[in-house]
Amino acid sequence: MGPVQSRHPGAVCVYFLCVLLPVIFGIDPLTAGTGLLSGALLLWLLAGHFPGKEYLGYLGIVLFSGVINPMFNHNGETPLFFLNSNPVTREALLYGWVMGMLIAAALIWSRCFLLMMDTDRLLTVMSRLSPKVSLILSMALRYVPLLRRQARMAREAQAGLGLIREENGLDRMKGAVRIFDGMVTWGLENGITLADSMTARGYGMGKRTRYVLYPWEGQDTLLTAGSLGMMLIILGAKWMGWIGYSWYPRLVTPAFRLPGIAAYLLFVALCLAAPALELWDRARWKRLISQV
Amino acid sequence: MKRGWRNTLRWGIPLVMMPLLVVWGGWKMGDRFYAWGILGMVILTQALFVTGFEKKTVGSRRMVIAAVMTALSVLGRVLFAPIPGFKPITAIVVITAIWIGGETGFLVGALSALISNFFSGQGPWTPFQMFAWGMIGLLAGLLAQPLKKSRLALSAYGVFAGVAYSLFMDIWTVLWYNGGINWPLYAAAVATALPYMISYALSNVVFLLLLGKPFGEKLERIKIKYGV
Repeated sequence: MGPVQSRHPGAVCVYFLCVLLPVIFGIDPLTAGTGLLSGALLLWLLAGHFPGKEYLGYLGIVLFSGVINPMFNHNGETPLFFLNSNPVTREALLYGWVMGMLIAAALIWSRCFLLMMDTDRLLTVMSRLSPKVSLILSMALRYVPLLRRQARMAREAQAGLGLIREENGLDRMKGAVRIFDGMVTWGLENGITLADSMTARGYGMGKRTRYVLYPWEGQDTLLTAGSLGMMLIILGAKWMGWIGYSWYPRLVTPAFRLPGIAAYLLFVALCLAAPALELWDRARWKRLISQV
Repeated sequence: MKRGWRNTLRWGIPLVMMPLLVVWGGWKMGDRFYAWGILGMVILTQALFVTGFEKKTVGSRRMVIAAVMTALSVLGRVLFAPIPGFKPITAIVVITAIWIGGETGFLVGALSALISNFFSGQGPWTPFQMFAWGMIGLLAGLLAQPLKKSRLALSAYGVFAGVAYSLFMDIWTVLWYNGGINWPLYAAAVATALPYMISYALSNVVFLLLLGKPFGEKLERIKIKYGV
């Protein structure tokens, strides 16, 4: 478990949100590029091996987006050439690439988020909003493997009776429906038993407490407050017009004065916080190992 | 749990946060508003629903049934995987909504999308899928009486759900990508997704007709036998 993952799931959620929001608000090659590169680094660290295939997929999204946007979007005042008497403009082409970077960055950070947040952590966050819904969610997650086991048993029994012949498509479909039918009956009956035993143990009687696996610590407050503060500064800089690009009809780059540059650097620091913590943790581990 | 905090959310979302999103977003963000405004609305609606659900007194049996139906729709995706494009999620959401109620339908739809995306990949589209399937369930709950009676109405609803789901997800794709709505791009997105749309609609009808009656009978039996 890495240093970021061992934080409280709520704090991790806030951090990811604080990285994602500046990336997706506004089409800005600098924030999108920073998000993409730092996300790629984080994915590499979290995956444990070089995720070449996934990188190729994200690269494909960027290139594809650069082709699609100028085909459908004819805004912009610098035509490169004409396609079916519609101008293909430089602005639309660049916009498409930046948009692709943005989408890829959002996807790559979502992927990292998913690698960090297992269902236990998700339930911890959900239970703040609604203990009831998160209880349903956790029961549903439990029923997935239970029902899968039941389905396998039913399938084996049916196959043993010669009721499912693999080579026959219609047969296979009918078999699947029959197994599903059995699963429904079994699941509902089993569920009623579960519900009754919950009631017998006092569920729904008065106040309930929750057991939370992840205690909130000082570092979590630090992480939450730090990332929220940085995000607000960056979004504020965007609001004030210190940073941010305008695309149509003509590409307008920001003025790059001191507050704008500071805001961009702050965003770089925010994005690199998670990969840097991971790297630092690994370096410390190596150092400690070498001292043994 | 702090009850006051959740109550604040219950009133704050529709009365403060949603108007704020519309006014501020429309004023400050211009074209980009559509995509983020819709995303914000989708998330707020779900938060509102969840906090509302928490206030209700829901029996443990009903909760377990919602959990079982969610697990079934997730597993259905795995069980029927040999036939591409065939997913019983919509059918199960609709059946649950008809027989148990629209709210449970919303919950089963939204949670099914959330859980099955753990297997097939989360992303920025997850809130939208949750919303789309949830709304399909909620609407089916409102139309429960005609849908229970007529197989034709049930099939029609299956087609509607498939087409609406596909169109809705494409709207989001285009809005997100383009900032505002761009009709040629939307048309292209819909055209690309046409095979999916057809397979959604078709599989919805097949599963609704196939599962509707036996499933309904089972739920009805559970309702009568145990008084859910």
